[in-house]
Amino acid sequence: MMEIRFHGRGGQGAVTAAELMARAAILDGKYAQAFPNFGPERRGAPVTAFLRVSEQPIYLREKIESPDTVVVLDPTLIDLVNVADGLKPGGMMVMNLAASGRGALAKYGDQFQVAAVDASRIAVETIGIPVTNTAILGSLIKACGITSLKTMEGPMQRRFGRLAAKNLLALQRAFEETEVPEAPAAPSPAAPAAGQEGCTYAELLQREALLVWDQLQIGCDIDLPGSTAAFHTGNWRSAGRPYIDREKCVSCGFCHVYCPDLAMNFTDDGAIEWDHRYCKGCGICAEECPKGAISMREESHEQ
Amino acid sequence: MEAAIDTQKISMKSLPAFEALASGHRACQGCGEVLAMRLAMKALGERIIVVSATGCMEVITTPYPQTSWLVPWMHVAFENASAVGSGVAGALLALARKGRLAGGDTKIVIMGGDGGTSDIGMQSLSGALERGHDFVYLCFDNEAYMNTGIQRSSATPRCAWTTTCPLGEEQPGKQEAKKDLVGIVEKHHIPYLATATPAYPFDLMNKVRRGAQVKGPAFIHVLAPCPTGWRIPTHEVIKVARLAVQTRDYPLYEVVNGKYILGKPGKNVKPVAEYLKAQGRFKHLSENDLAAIQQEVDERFAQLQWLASRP
Ligand code: SF4
Ligand code: SF4
Repeated sequence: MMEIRFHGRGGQGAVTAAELMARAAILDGKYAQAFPNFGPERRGAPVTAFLRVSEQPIYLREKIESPDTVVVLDPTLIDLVNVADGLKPGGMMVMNLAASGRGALAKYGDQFQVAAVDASRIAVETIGIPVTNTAILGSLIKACGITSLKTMEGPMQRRFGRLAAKNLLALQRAFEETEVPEAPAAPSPAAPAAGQEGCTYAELLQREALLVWDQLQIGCDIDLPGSTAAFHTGNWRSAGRPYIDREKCVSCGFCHVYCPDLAMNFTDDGAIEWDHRYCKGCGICAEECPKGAISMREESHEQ
Repeated sequence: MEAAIDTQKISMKSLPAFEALASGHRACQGCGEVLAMRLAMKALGERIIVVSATGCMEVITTPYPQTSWLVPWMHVAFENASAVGSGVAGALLALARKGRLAGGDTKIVIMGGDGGTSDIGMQSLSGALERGHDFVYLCFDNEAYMNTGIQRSSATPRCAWTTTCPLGEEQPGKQEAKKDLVGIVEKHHIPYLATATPAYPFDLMNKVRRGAQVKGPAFIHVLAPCPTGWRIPTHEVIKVARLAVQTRDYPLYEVVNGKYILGKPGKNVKPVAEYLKAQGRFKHLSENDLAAIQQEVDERFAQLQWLASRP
C-alpha cells in the first residue's frame, strides 16, 4: 500500500488533487481512498489531505501518520509546517519550488528523495492562475507511478469540464519538467519532531490538538479566555503583507476598524501598528484606507 | 443598578477600545462575518453573556480546547440557541430577585448564522421573541452553510451557486427566493429590529447598541460577506457588502416599535448587476436574469419605502 500526504493551503485544491488521483487509481483497477484532515474550510490556512492506494482492499480509515510520500503544493509551507513529519526514511518528497528556491531542500537531501518542480510557473503558463493542484500530480506520477497520465484524463475531464484541456497540459508539463534524483544510499533516520511527546497543556493548545478524555474540564469548560492568541495565524499569509506608508497615513483608524484579525492596532501614542503575528493578508486594510497609505506587497522575511 | 450597555453614540472618536475576541481565530482570510461580530461586540461591551448556535463563528472562535472569547460564551446546538438564551435570561432574573447577583445588569446576546437562524433555529427564535425575554439576537447572514462546504440555506438568494445548488442546465443555481427572515421577525412585533453590514461599521455598532438598550428582544440582521462562499477576492469583501447597500439589494433600515425608519438614501443608486457581477457565485447570470433580479430589488425597495412612509 502506498500512503501519500498532501500539504496545501485552504482553497488551493489539495483535497481535489488527492481525489483525482484516487479516481485514476480506481480506474486502473486498484483500491484507493482520498480524504481531507477534518476541519472547517478556511482559506489560506495550512491544510492536509490524504491518499491511500493499494492492490488490496483498504480497511484503514484513519489519517496518515507515516507516509511513503509527501506532496507540497505551496512553496511557502516548506518552512512553516514540518512537511517531512513522520515521512519514512528514504521516502519521496514532491515539492513545488522555483529553481531559485531549491536551496531550501538541501536539509532533506540525505534523508529523503526530493523531486522538485516549478508547478506555480507551469500553472500560470498553462491554466493562467497559480493553482498548482493539477500540475503537481504530473510530478507525483513521474516520481511514484501510481497511475498514468492517460488514466488521469477521465477524472480530469469529469472534474474540470471545459477547463480540463488546460489542466491536462499542466499535468503533462509538470511530468516532463520534474527531476527525480536517485534515492539516498543510506537514509539516516529522521529526528523526532520537536514537542511530539510529553508536552504541556499550553503546548497542546498551540498545536491545535484534541485533548484526551482525562484532560477535559467538566462541561467542556475552557478556563483560558482568549487562548487562541497563542495560535499565530500570520503564517496563513501567502500573497503578500500590508506595508504602511507613514508619509500618507493620518492615523484615522479605518484599517483598525476593518481588520477582521485585529492585526492593525493603535499604539499608545496613536500611531497604527501592523501585527505580523495575526495578519492573514486579506488586503482589506489596503483596499479601505481612505488615504491609499497601505499597499500589499510581497513579503521580505526581514522580521 | 449600573447599566449593562453604554449609551454613547459611537464614532471614530468614541470608538470603544474593548474587544471581546482575541486574535488567532481561525476565520478565513478576509472573513466579513468575524469582522461584523467583532464590531458588534465592541458596541456591546463586557457586561454580556453570549449564547451561540453552531456555525462558522462557533467553529472559528472555539477550536476546542482553545477559544478566542474574552467574555462568557456558551456554545449550544443549531436549533436551541434562543431557548438556551431565554433560560439564561430567566436565570439572571431569578438570581437578581434572590439578591445573589452583584454588579448590575448583564445583557444576554444570542447569535447564529443564517442556518442557525432562518433554518434550524427558527422555532426556538420565534418562541423567544414571542415570550419577550430581554436579549439581543445577532444573525450573521452569509447566505449559505459555509464552513461545512458552501451548502445552500433558506437564506441563499435566488440564482446563487452553492455546492448543493450547482449550475445545471435546467436549474442554474438556487431556484427559490431568499426567505424573508427580517419580515418574519417583524411580525413578532418586537421593540427593535434593524439591518446592518460591516461595510458601514459605525451604523452597525450604533444599531447594536440601540438594540441592546431596549428592554425586551432586539434583532439585528447582519449581511456578512463570505469571500470563500461568495467567490470574491478577500480584499473586496467590504466593497461588495457596500455594493449590496448601494444597489438597494440590501437596504439598511430599522423598525422601532413597529415604525419603519429607512436609512439615508444614497445619492446615486447603482444597478444591482454591479453587486452581482462582483461575485463568482453569480457569474453565470444572463442579462435576463439580471433584469429580473433588478425588478425584484426595485419592488422590494418600493414596498419598504411605502412601509416607512406610514405614520
Ligand atoms: S486607514 Fe490608512 S490613513 Fe487611516 S490609520 Fe490606517 S493606514 Fe493610516
Ligand atoms: S491584510 Fe490588513 S485587514 Fe487583512 S488581516 Fe492583515 S492587517 Fe488585517
